[in-house]
Amino acid sequence: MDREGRSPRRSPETFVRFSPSQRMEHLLIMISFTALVVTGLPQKFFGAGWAQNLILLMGGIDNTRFLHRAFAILFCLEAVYHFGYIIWLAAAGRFVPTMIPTRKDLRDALQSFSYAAGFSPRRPMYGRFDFRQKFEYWGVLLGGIIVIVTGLILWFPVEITRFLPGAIVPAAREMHGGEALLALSIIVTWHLYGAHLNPKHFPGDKTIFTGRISREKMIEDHPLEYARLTGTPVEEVIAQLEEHHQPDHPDHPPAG
Amino acid sequence: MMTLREYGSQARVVAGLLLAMAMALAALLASATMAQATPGFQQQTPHPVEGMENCVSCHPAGTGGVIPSPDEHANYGNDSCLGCHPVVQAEPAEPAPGAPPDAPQLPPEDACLTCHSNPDLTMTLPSGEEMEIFVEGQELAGSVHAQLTCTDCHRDISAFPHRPLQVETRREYTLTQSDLCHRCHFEQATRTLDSIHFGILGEQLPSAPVCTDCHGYHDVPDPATSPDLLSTRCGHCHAQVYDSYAGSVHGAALLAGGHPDVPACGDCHLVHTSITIDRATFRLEVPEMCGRCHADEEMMDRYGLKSNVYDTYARDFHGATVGLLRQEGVLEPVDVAVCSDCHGVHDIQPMAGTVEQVEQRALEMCQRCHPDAGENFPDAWLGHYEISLEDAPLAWLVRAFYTVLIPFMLIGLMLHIVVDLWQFARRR
Repeated sequence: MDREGRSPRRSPETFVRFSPSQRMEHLLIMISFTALVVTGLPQKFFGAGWAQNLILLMGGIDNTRFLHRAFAILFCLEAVYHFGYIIWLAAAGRFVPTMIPTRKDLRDALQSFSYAAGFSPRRPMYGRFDFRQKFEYWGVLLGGIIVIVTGLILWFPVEITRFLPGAIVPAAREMHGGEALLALSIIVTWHLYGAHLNPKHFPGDKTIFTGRISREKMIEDHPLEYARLTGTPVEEVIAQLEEHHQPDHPDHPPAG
Repeated sequence: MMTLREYGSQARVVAGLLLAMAMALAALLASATMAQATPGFQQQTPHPVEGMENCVSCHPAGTGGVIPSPDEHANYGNDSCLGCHPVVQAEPAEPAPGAPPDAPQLPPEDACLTCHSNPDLTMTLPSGEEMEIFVEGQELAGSVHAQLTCTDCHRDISAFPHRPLQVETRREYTLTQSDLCHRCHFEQATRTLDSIHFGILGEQLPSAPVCTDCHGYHDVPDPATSPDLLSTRCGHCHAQVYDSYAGSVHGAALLAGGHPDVPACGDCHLVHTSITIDRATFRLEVPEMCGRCHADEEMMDRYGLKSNVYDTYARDFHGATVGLLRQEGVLEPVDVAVCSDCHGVHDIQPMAGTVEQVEQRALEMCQRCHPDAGENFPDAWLGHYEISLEDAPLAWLVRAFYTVLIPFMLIGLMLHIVVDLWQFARRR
């Protein structure tokens, strides 16, 4: 995870949050994941009427499987790119563990919940990525590894069972479908809410596509990152935050 | 495109109209001929027979005698006369005015059998073939058609002497007669029009079976109670297949008798329709076909067999694929395994042997489609087992894990969203 945000003396109106490479990665995952769900879900629920209609619509089961595998290759390429990117960053000494979960994330999660429930007066102060974003990133990462490995087992059962017991094939089938369903459930609840439906971002947070975030949103959602990038003392950022959070403040959250 | 059902109903209407026209024509002809009083075998002897039992002493064939019988009667013995010429009562009761004349005392069958019960009776066809025209009374009595009269099927015969046959050969006679079955068995006869047998009948193969070749004619058995007999008849032409079937678990049980559930030829090959087995659709129908019996819990219990073999197949990779391809209506042959690929076709044998033997057989079966499969490969298939802790523990554990995790995760996330929204609502 590198940082693209520049840190000028005077705080800019917008910050660069995601590099073109990162934005492309998100786009690739978005396309391949959606296509894999559309081609894969009816295969998991092949007995249902809607699934059969969808398969017919895609030109039959053979076609559907072909499409699924084609997009799976795209997904795998993106995974390889991502790991390669991290390794390259690490080799260049530019790797910054912004996505690594810390104890603070656990504290943040608890505080966030207690703030939302009204027990805590202040929202947690997040760094470059908050605990939700880290959770989602690791979900995609681990889930992605699971579906890639089990998918390859299902694609090449003859080759795999040359050196592994046969029982892993039906287990892989269960795991592939189960993990995919889990991923889809998280995307349609957590991601859809977190990035689109919640009042703060509705109808959608464009940062991942434009790569840019407004100063207000930066202060609101990633105050520690703002402090680090601009060199503003944390106390000052807290003061700014509290100013926003006055009960009579006309707008919450502050509009950009 | 007309479906078979539509075709059937239209054909029925046409047949009904034709029948009505034929009946009207017959009534017209009957009223015309009635006046002429054409001599037939239903004509009654105008005198009592007692004391005059030797008919031919008065009625010799040809010339001479009181009333000579026609020339054609030369070959008939004295004892057959009364078969066709019933006796009038010695003192007939006064018929009511306008009442129809007395019915003949002998039923027509008996009248026919007077001559046709002679085992030596044959006739020579124009082709030179000798056709046996002997009918054994016993055969008729045991037939499902015991209630029919001879002339129901031998419709061109209504009098003696019979009208000459309009056929050249023995086979032609069979084909002509068999064509009459549809008058009562319209549905079945219509189905045969789609069959492979009907398709090759005629110029290509006059011996291709028609109704009577399988069902018989004078001795028609009830197909429901004698599937073994009908299957044997398939074997007349399909000897090799029949032998293979006879040695299979199904064939042996059928031929041993007492197993009405066991499939005979027609159960799988769609009796009457008997479609060609190389059609891709037939192959895709195989699992459904086997499932008709093997998914029937009550029937399988009778034989101590598992009734989930169809469901477990339909859920696994092969079965799911076949099910979807069937829906798509693919017409080209499909190479995904169906029941018969592993279990055999006509030579199906029960699963028997030691675990090692069964595993070895399974591997051989896998390798027929997956030539590079190693010895672990058959375990990749659940072998008609359900995913359970005993039979497939790894898959069961994975499934259990996600069955618990997904709802938990969803509930947690939804809860989080609700609380978050509540926070927004409160702080507005």
